[in-house]
Amino acid sequence: MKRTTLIIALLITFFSNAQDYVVEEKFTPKTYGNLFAEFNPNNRSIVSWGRSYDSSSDEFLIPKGSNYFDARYQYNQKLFLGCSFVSGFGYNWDAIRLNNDSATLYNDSVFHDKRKLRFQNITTNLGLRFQTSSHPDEGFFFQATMYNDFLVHSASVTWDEVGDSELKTRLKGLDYVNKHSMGVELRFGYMAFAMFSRYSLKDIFKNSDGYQGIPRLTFGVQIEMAASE
Amino acid sequence: MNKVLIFIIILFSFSSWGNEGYFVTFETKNTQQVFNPYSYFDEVAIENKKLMGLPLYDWYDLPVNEDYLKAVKSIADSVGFDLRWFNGVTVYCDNIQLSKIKSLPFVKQVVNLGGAEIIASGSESEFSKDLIEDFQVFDWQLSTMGGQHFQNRNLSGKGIRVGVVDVGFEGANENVQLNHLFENDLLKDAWDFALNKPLDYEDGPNHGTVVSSFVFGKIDTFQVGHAVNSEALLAKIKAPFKSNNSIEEAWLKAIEWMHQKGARIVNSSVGYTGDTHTHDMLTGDTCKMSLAANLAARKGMLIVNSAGNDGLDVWKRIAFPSDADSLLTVGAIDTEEGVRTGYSSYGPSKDLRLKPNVTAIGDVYWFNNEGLRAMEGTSFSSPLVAGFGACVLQNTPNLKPMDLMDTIQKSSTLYPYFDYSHGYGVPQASLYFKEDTIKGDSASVILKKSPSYLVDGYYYLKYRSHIGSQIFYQIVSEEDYIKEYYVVRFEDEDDSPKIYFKDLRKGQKIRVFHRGTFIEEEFK
Repeated sequence: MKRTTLIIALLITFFSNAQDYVVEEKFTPKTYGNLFAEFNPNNRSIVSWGRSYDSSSDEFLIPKGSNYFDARYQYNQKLFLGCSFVSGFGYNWDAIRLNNDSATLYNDSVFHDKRKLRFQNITTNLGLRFQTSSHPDEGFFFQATMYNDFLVHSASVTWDEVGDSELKTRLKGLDYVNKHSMGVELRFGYMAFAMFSRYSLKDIFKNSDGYQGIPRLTFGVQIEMAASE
Repeated sequence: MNKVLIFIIILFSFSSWGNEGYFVTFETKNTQQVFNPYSYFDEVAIENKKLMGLPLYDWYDLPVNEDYLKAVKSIADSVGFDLRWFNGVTVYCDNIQLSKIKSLPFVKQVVNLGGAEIIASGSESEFSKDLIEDFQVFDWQLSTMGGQHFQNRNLSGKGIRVGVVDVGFEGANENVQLNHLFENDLLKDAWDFALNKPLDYEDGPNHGTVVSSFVFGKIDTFQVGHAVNSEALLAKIKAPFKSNNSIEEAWLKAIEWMHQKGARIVNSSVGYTGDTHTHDMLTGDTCKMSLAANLAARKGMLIVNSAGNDGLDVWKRIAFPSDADSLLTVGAIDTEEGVRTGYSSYGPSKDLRLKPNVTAIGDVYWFNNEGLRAMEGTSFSSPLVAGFGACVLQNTPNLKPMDLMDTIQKSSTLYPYFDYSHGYGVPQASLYFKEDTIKGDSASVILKKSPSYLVDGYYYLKYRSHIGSQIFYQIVSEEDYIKEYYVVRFEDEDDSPKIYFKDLRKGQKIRVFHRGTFIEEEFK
């Protein structure tokens, strides 16, 4: 009971703020008259690059060539102290280079010199962010979010050497992949630079098609900047 | 069906009437022609110039060369006003005619008049109670600027000619607040520059009537404006079906006319934003209206202009001609917190000069002969300041416009502190007469540096008296513009905002204002 009272008292301390900001305005000549000058630095733009790995021992993925890119917007809504609620949206380009040993993963089970699956998704995320500074451009931060990917485009690409030439085959609109994916993303950064990891909680392939799953983990780096001053 | 079609065609024909508008300036004036200032200027204008020690006329007052005007008129479809101050004339013509005009040897420059949105609005809502009781609100309105200090000294703008340029003065001749202007011969002239004819009070809108009330208005013993005994000049600049181009042209002509008629102060609760007017032009020397405002100050007439009501809109900044540096730009504060209202436009000018210069209440009451109406807009804060200026001029008639502007700024609540929302604050007659009772003998707030043993160093503010009253503070950049500014209030003496060192760079300054205490500290 005493512990509960203490926690409540601490929370009240966090949330109560006797200083009353009647006017709080920031000005910079760079944004003079700009529509986005109304925005504050909690509007963030993020670009990411990473590589995907098979987190199981099967190693169906080849990390080299399994590249992940995204560009997104995020808004940090401050809750208390350095804690913010974050929400965002963006677009990602996700490629998976598959090992030839993973032949059972495909409709096409023929041996290929190289094979990739390519996806493009609209992505959204929601979560919490903890920052050592009150300004999102400064200090260290840690962020944990749940993401949702909604498939916009999918393709299977294979490369084969036929005689002296290379044969590239592309199949679009894959019907055996899930239209929706979700997972967890963790980010850790300092000022404008961050490292991230994404772990997919939903398999790429539709279960009903009987494909073997690929537990997928993505690691990468990010640059994060204020979307406006 | 055919009738409808014909009607639509006629409508389209109307909408496509008229060619583009241009302003044509000429190389020279006929300086050999004899110019008699006594015949051109009103005798009050002559007296004003003598009083201020200004030359009776200068090059700008000389007329535009008649031969040049004739030549342009013979080419263009139509011409508008000739403007002495700019040595030019507005013309309406097609591209072929324009080429011919450009090729005339005496034509210096041709610029497109462009378009813009005019701001001259204020929202209103009905509010009616017992009349006598309600009218006390007028005393309160003027008391926000210390109006009683003027009234106690019988300062009411007497002998000072004040002009109002506005979009319309509907019902001004019947409104009880302005009756005394008509009955006591205080209205010296009124002209419609949109239609170039004497002002017709039947034509709307009534924006100028409301605005004029806050300069000259009174009901019985209640003053609505500070300058109830000033002489008035009214100029209308808008007419139905006239484009905004002609409004700008009419505004410029009206300002020349006000100067000719001897106005010492002109209130202009109109402004332009958008279209061909861009933020990059808010430099005070780009828009013709702004140039005219600066010239007016040089010639003995101060223009007081509302900042604009774009604080919550995309435009956000002040409207033209409020960017002019010799023009007094007035923003609006709310009546509860005493800080910028949401709608009041932000400064500074594009070249980072202080704008607005001062503020006054923008949420006001006005009597429409039936009941009180609640009004809001910077349109109404501006005339309150114009009236204030007229009282100052009555007290010290030889003040030149820039001295008057300086006096008003120095009499304002925040002076010498200023920011881009409040300017120097609200002009106060008590400060003008140096009868202020707010500022105490000692500083009411102090700025302290955090103890050096703290890694995360900061400055912080502490009340020494009057806990709970607002503290204004700001961080000034090395380039001398205000980087951040705040108005804060604490309920407890121990509360204080922290201004962190890590956000500050060498050369930046912290400025603080609280109840007359002004602190400036440079970060080293």
